[in-house]
Amino acid sequence: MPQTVLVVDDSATMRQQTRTLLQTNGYNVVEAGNGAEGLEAAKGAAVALVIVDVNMPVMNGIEMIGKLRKMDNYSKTPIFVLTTESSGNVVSQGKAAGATAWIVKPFNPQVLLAAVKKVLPA
Amino acid sequence: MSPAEPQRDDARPLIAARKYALVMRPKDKGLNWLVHILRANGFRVAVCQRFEEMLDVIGKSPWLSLLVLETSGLRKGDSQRLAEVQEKHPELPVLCVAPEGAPTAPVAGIPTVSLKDAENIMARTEEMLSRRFYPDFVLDGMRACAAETLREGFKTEAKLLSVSLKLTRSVLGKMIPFISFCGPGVSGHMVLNAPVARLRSMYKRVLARRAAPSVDDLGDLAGEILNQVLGRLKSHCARYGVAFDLGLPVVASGDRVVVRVPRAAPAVVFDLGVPGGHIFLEFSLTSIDLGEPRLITPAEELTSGEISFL
Repeated sequence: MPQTVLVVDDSATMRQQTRTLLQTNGYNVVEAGNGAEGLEAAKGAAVALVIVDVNMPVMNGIEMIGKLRKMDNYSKTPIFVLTTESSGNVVSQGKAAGATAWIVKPFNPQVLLAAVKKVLPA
Repeated sequence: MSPAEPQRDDARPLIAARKYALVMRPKDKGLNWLVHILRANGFRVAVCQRFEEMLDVIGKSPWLSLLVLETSGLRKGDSQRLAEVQEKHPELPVLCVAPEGAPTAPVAGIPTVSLKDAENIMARTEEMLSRRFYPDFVLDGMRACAAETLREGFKTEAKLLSVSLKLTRSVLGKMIPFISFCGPGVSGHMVLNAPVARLRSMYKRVLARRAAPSVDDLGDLAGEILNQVLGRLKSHCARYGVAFDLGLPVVASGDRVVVRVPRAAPAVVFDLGVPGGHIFLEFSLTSIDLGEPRLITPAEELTSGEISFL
């Protein structure tokens, strides 16, 4: 049964790029446009991996990660941050909130896919 | 590109650039066309005919952003005095314009162009004004960030064709995406100006979808381009001690969108050649604190495209 990845980004273009890559490689994808929607989507689906942006309206990615980690069944779910932010300060905030990995945009599809397969073995 | 060595000179005040220029031309109508263009674009231009007058204006005007000097009126000893002016005002760009047949470069290090080459005079003027209003590391960073982002993130080979000043305040078009940024001592914004057809072809390249993109789809793509270019520029500027946060991209669309942006300094426009035509990135600094010395501290940062497990 295909595993489900939650992609959270306010850019529809980024969500679509990521969706296409993951679906082509056999994953289900659920999308959300900001952190608040991401938390709702996580409640409604059995998500195996979260890929989340940082700078979003309503609720940013760092806040979403912190709240997600407190939800049932999400304390150990891998969370990748996919963002333009690259400063050590912001990465530290993400790590403290509970992020598993950090990718700076633009992402390399092969690198992202390899990382997804590493945390979600078939 | 490696960061420059930190430089501090507490004895020399840093004067912010203003829209003032000085043109010295011995003949009554020489370089009038340049004076007219600068005035039409909001610059206050003082004009003089004698070298002594020029020195007097420079002494009284610490906010001069450009000196254009026609060299036919220079007398013996003026070159030395011009070199002294440069030493005393190193931040003031000086462009010499030489009549045909006249010796070039009256002072080593001051660029000199031919009076007959109006295009080159204008290009040099714009380049110098760009560097007067914008730190070198910002202009050089924008050049690299724009091309790299389009290539790596949006599968679009882009070549920088020109850098020019945009002196008007309005941005016109059917869809105008822009993004602002703000940090300690610095603020500004970036605008993407691209024909819908260019965005449409980029969209198809990036997402490989057969369905035609909607206006919202194209606006979203343009906003993400701005987000990633500015994100990359943010990393670059951090190496020079300039930190800022990005706003969220905003897209205004309609039959005829006019965005009026108040700014005290002209915007810099990067003309990028892409398959099928051009796209323009317009970058404006609404404020930058020149009074703060820039101490370079190495920034810890990750590389785009790579994944780092935390």
